Amino acid sequence: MHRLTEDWLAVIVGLALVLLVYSGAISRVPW
Amino acid sequence: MAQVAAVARPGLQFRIPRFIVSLAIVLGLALLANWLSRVSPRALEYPLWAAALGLMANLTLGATGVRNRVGQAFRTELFLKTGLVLMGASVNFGEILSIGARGVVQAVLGVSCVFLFTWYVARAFGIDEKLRAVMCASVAICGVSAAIAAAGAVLAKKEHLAYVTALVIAFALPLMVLQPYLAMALGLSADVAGAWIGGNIDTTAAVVGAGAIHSERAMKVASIVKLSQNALIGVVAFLLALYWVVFVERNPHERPRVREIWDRFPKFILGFVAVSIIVTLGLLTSSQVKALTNLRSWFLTLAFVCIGLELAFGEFRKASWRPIGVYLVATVFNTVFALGAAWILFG
Repeated sequence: MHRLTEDWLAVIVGLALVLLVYSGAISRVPW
Repeated sequence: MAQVAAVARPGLQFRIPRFIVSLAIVLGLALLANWLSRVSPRALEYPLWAAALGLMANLTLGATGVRNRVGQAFRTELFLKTGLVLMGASVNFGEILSIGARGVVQAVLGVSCVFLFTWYVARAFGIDEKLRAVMCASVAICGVSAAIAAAGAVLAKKEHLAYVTALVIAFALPLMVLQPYLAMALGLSADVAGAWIGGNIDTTAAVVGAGAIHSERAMKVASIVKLSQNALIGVVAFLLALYWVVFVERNPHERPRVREIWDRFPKFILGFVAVSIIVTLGLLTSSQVKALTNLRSWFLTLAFVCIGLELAFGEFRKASWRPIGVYLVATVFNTVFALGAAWILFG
């Protein structure tokens, strides 16, 4: 995968997870 | 026709997409690493378990000859970058500015001195100019990404890049284990330990791992210092390309574009800063931040597993002692220099 695409994919996935947590779709993550 | 094909090749209809198998391996190892870190003595943190399990799986898959067929999801950089974007949730934007500013100063000093030192040591060892450029970039800045940028700037051979990538990880893994414990033994504060780790270890994944082994604070400082350094990749690649076309190839009509600096800038840092701003503005509750922090830990665990899975043992068999010698000398210099710089700026 081209590194430029990889960087933006990481940003998109990261921000998508933030959105899911913010919306309440993800409320608890065990660790 | 399809039915005839299925009968002629009966295995076809039962083939599971290899990516899913590959992802299952990485996820399974990450779950195991998480479990082991919870049941084992405190001294063995999750980055160590994850990298160790990844290495063992690498050797096993290599010995059984299936490694190349199930490697599609072994993506250290992707998991790491996603984890770092999520790390923004646990870092106040003011901290990014404060640590980042000192990190940039440390990075500029460190990158210049270590790059030049490695250049002259490599020349003394008789290393080819293009391999020299790739090695200097990887030791001085950020392992794999910098090596790729430098390789592109000087049109290095693919074998040089593969070889340096293997060297980076081979040196980074022992440092990931040794440096945090050395920092504890020296009684360094979390900030100095983090800055030392961030300014020294060559690959971002190992920096985050080493920081995590020391403490949460050291991991944040190490990550921000390392990201400050990573941001310089574009500048160094541009200057290297400029030096190459003007002084080595002597072709002033082929100047590199200034846009190169932006093209090489690690864009995931923007995601890290964006998440930090979101949290600093108070848009998330503390339990939501906790959920993001745990997601971060999972992505980092996946990255550490992959760092072990992706180590290319085969590259070392092609090695001569000279590049290894140069890397060793440069790493010792980098370690001492980074400790001094971290002490002055963060002590």
